[in-house]
Amino acid sequence: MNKEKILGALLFMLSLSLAVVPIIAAFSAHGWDPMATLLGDSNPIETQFGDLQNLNLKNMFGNPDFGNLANLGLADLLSLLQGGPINVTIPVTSPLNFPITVKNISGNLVSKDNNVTLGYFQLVNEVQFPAYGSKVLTIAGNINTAEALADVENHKGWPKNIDFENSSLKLDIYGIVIEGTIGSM
Amino acid sequence: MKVNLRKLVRTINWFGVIAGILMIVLPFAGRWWRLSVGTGAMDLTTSPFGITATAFGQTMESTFIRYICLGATISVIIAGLFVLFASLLPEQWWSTRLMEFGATRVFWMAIGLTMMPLIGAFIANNVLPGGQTLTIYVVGATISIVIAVLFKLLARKFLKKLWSKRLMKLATNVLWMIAGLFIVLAVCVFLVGKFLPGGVQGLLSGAVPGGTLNIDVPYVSGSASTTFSMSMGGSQATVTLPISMGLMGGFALAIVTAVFSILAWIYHPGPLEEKKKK
Repeated sequence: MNKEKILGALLFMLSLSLAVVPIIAAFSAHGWDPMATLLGDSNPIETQFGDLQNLNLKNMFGNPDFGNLANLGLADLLSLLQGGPINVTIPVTSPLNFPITVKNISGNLVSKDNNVTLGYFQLVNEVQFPAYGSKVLTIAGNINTAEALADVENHKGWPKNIDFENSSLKLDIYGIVIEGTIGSM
Repeated sequence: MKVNLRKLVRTINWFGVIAGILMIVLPFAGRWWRLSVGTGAMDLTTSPFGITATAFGQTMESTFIRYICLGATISVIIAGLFVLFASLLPEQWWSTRLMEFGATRVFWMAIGLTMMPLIGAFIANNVLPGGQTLTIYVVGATISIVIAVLFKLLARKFLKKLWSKRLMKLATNVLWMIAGLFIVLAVCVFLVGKFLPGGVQGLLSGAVPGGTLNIDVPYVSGSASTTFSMSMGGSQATVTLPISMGLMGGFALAIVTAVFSILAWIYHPGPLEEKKKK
């Protein structure tokens, strides 16, 4: 009976030690600093998003290239009036320390005075930016030729107060999808 | 010699031998459960013996967690050795004590690791949005406690066989654990009701005009999406977080180990004094 009680006490001390000693060892390894012991040295949020504090949007975008619109020939003009796309390529440099995918950019071009949708634009293909990477966004714009010409005829002049409407942006950051829509700019 | 060998084979607790070996191997058999947010936004794989966590491509480490897991590893290996020795020499005076030290350890680790994401998801999906009443949790805790006490009294009065007493003790301890979980949930409901009257949604609407939060977290295993959206005027923004969880291969081995170790404990002969009484 005495032996069993001693064994029981020893096993209890062993259980207690196995629970308490690791905690003491962990804290003593960091000089009893609770924050350093519990959270360690790494802070992924600070590492990945810290650069955003010094974000400069001007440095993100290069000069857009309006492609076929810059040297518009007759054939191109006819294509445009028949609803063909205008492709605009915009060089973009990501200021982010992690990869990001631009999945969609889209919106409508409207004449606010006459409440007419003149056309729409959309990102041609989604673009994956590596960390601090530079890629080109290609945005295709189409004119609603019939509505635009009807608006010109109805109001005896070019559409006024042209604005973007229902512009939307869709991003993918590590599988987290961020979507934003702006009613009008 | 033949007679001794036959007697030896018959006296060995074979469930315990298997359980002991599995317990020694288990800490090195891989993780038990994983959690992913997005694709690499956050990845977590865990077991009582180690946790690997990354967020946005960066590894997160905690010395505290690492040492706790090391303690759990050493604890299970020692428990496995004790169960093995007790099973090989079940008639020794120390064998029952050693078996009791180690036999249910993995069982409670498996229960704990299953309960934590289950309770966490329940709190996220049902308690944080608010609107819960304390009644069901108080009733649940009360019923569990009453049944646990009844089991203990019935076992003391009616159960004679050692294996039935041990099984009833295990069932009683599980009921105490369930009662404890109901109490934890009741405390969470009380705190949310007191400090977040409108739940997390109410807090968000106050901080972000037009903000809504739809929390959907899977229970232990599965996929779901939690979305946060805000609208102002004609503009709207939505953030969608896909969350997936699942049990891993190490957990299957843990279940097998727990089953064998419980069987070993139930089957193990009692202390010598009890045998002499018989």
